[in-house]
Amino acid sequence: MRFFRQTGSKVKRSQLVEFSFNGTTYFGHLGESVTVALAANGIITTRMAHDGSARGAFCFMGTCQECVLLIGGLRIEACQVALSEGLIVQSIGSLYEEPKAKGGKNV
Amino acid sequence: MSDFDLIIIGAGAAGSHAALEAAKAGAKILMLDEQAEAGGQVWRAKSPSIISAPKTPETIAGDKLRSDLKSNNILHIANARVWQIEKNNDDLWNIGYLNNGQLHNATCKAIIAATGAQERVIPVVGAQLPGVIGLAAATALFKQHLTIPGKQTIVAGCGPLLIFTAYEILRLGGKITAIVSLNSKTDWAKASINMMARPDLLLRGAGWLAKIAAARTPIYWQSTITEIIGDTHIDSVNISRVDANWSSVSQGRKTNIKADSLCMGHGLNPAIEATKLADATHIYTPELGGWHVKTDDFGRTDKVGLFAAGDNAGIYGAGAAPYRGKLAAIAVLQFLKLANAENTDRLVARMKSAAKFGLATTKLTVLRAGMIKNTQQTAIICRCETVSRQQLEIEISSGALSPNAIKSGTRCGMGPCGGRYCSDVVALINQTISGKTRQQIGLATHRPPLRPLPISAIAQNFDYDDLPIPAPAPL
Repeated sequence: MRFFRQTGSKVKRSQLVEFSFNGTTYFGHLGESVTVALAANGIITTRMAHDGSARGAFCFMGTCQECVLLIGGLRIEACQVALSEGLIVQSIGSLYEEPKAKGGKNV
Repeated sequence: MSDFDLIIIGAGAAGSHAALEAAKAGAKILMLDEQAEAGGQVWRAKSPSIISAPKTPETIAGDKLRSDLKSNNILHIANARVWQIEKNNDDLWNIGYLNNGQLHNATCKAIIAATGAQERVIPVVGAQLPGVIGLAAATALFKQHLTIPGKQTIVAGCGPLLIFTAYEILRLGGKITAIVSLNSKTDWAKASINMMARPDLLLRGAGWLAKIAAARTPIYWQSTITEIIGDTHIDSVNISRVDANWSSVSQGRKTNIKADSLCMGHGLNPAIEATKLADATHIYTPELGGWHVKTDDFGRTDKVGLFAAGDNAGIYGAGAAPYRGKLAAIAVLQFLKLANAENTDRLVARMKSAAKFGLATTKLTVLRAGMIKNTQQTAIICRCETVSRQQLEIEISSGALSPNAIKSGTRCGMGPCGGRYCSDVVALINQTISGKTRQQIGLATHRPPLRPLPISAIAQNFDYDDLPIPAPAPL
């Protein structure tokens, strides 16, 4: 499961650049949003909620806060950040946490 | 002395046209916008990763607007998030905003809030799963990135965005597994009578439907998504027919459709945080998207020096927004005594005529009473804080009837999005228990910051040695 960029001769995109997410190297187009670069690489989970359920980007316009990641050390909405060469992107907390007991309240 | 005559919040269709109009009279203007480029959602610019691509009516209009703003020397700060609006001691408006990781302040005599709208999604079980995105979200993805959310997409909800999203997915090379429309064919037939006000747009819509039909896309009319199934991402959805009130009538029979992505939306809510924080009067009008700031035809609110233009003052749509921006700018120029009263009858008439199309499409998205019945007890209402309908119902039944009480009791709406995606749904659930009207329920208090701010921006650079330490109290 991943996002797909429109292909074909009518669309010309910028060059591919390297970036990392949680220590693994990926490629994306220079200047596209980090959310799109990740999702085109099959990474659609951006955070785990406190009950252990997966969440992903939802609004793509900087309001829902679901895609907030650590980018260059700052917590920022990944959909609002343009991809650049060598960008270091990390999730806030692990994306593979064991689910906590159900009904637990956030403190 | 103020820094600016006018600060415009939002560089979409309304805000940009307000700026262009006010610039004609020589007003000193600052336009602040969250996105990287002006244009708002309708005329959203392509990301720098798209070097060339086929033009669409939206890209042509958007590019013209952006070039007009540049050639008129309008001071537009992009990637700027307004977090505070208050009156200072000199009775000027003071606006706090974040830009490039730093906090800034600017004062002005008048504000035009042109903050637009945000998407409303009525959740069901599984709506929080990765791979489920909003309909407006999908259009942002298409317009900015020419990217689709999967290879087997379901498009669901109500109103014209449903048809536009389906068409765009096909145009960009995707496949639609199903269109699930709450509206019936009759709803659309009725709406298209009023949409005749813009035959050009109606014709475009017909073109979208023709493309959808040619792709042999199954359309489920008068139907809704009742459950989204998946573990770490969407795998399939269950759909059901709805009655005239949009309540599911499946009675246990399930139609399951496989999908790797779902675009779902149920209309737009006016984005009112800025005008609420500035303490203007807001009113509830379902036909205009719910709670919106109260204005006259010229965008005047009941706060001196505060004006509003565009969908945040009621969803009249993209066609009317430029006229509403111009009218608000004219009112601001009169307020600033930079222009004399002029005859605006023609402009008001044009705005009202353009609004006919927008009002007809908004009407298709007015939620019907049965819709909230489709949201299960275990459905997550607050995405940020993971609060279920059941938790909300327990809280409301225990006597927490105001939005503020529900918020402090459950944390619903207290997360980083500021309650923008759940507050409308919480009020609908509140109604089912309390029986109150939306006017009686009201709204939660809006407080700064309007958007999340990094602590580094608030604390700024300081040295521990420079912190003043008061002399210790005598023993």
